[in-house]
Amino acid sequence: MKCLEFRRLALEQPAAIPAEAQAHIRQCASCKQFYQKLNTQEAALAQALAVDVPEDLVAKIMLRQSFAPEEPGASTGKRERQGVKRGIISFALAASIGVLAVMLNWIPLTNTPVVEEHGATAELMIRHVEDEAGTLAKTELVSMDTFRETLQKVNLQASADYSGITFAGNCIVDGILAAHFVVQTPEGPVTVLLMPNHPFKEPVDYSNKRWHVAMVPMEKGSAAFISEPGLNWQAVKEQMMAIVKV
Amino acid sequence: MQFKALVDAYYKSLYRYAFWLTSDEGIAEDLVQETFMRAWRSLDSLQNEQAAKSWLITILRRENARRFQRKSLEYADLSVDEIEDQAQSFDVSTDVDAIRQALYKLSEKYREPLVLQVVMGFSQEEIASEMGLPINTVATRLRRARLQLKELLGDDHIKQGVNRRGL
Repeated sequence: MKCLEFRRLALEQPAAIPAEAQAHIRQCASCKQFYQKLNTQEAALAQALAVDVPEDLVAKIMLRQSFAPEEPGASTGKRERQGVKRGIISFALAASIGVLAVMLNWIPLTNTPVVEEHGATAELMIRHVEDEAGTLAKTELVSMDTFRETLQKVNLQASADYSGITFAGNCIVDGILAAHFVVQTPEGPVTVLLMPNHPFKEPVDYSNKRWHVAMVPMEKGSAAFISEPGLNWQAVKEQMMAIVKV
Repeated sequence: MQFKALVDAYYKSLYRYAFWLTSDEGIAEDLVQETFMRAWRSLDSLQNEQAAKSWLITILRRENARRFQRKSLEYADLSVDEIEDQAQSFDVSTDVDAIRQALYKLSEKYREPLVLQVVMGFSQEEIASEMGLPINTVATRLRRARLQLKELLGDDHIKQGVNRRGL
């Protein structure tokens, strides 16, 4: 094997040079040196390519998978057809109810934008929870010092300890600094967002197929409790609202 | 194959591949999540666990193709026929930040097969199959990728860490 051929092979796949190439470097000092330096670069290259992977990536993937309505392998065509069928039925039902409601004057049309606005805010909360999905998977309790420090950063105080908190941190939600907690309950985690600078005049109760969001006014600002639908979040709310002081 | 086992086995390498494919942490994360969701929906079609890695890469590349909007910058080819001259000295920086800077500067057509080989452990045949290229082209791109890295790492500007991009 000639030197040029050896170097071509080495540059193509340094980790697996053929036997013939290995025999060449035993006889050629120049190529041996070339190969040693190439391997040094290769080790550094592998290290450089190994960028940090987000710690909560697996949790996010598993969370999304847990919300996937279909079993694995379900026929896409069938799913799409079912979706279209469901959509038509839902639309027809919604349209019927809407017409009936307007006829009976149940829904003041002027209020619709307000309802939509609440829904959009609730969706923002949901997006934040999904972005921070890794927080839901944590099981180790945070210290009460951390709990209190998180509150203090948004000018809130705790009048007592709160057990069961597995995540505490300050986040920007809807452009406003919030205290973000996750409380583990027997039924599952409840995310609590305390936003003293986010005024909300009336309670909002919002659900989609994956999440339930309850937003309640506080003495100053508002609090949001986000959990899976059907989960008893009220106990968390009552305890949190009793402890946290503006 | 269990879905969780699939995720555990490949999420790191897929994320790193996606990161170097897009040079964007957020897009890489989205791509990996979307890839696994698509994999979940068609998990039954995965007949052979040995094929999982290629299967996932194929899904991820398709996802990326749908998102891909920016035009990649081309880096002028080196004269690979001059390997013999250049290879007299292979002294390069092994500083991780410097290598990352150099990787950002590599043309995508050279960076991608290199990442598939080093991060995913793909053979040249597998890279050729995945990228739809002749194997000789893959071999050429791998050589050029490593030679360009060497050239870039020989640049004092990079060695001094000027304009380093934090990760």
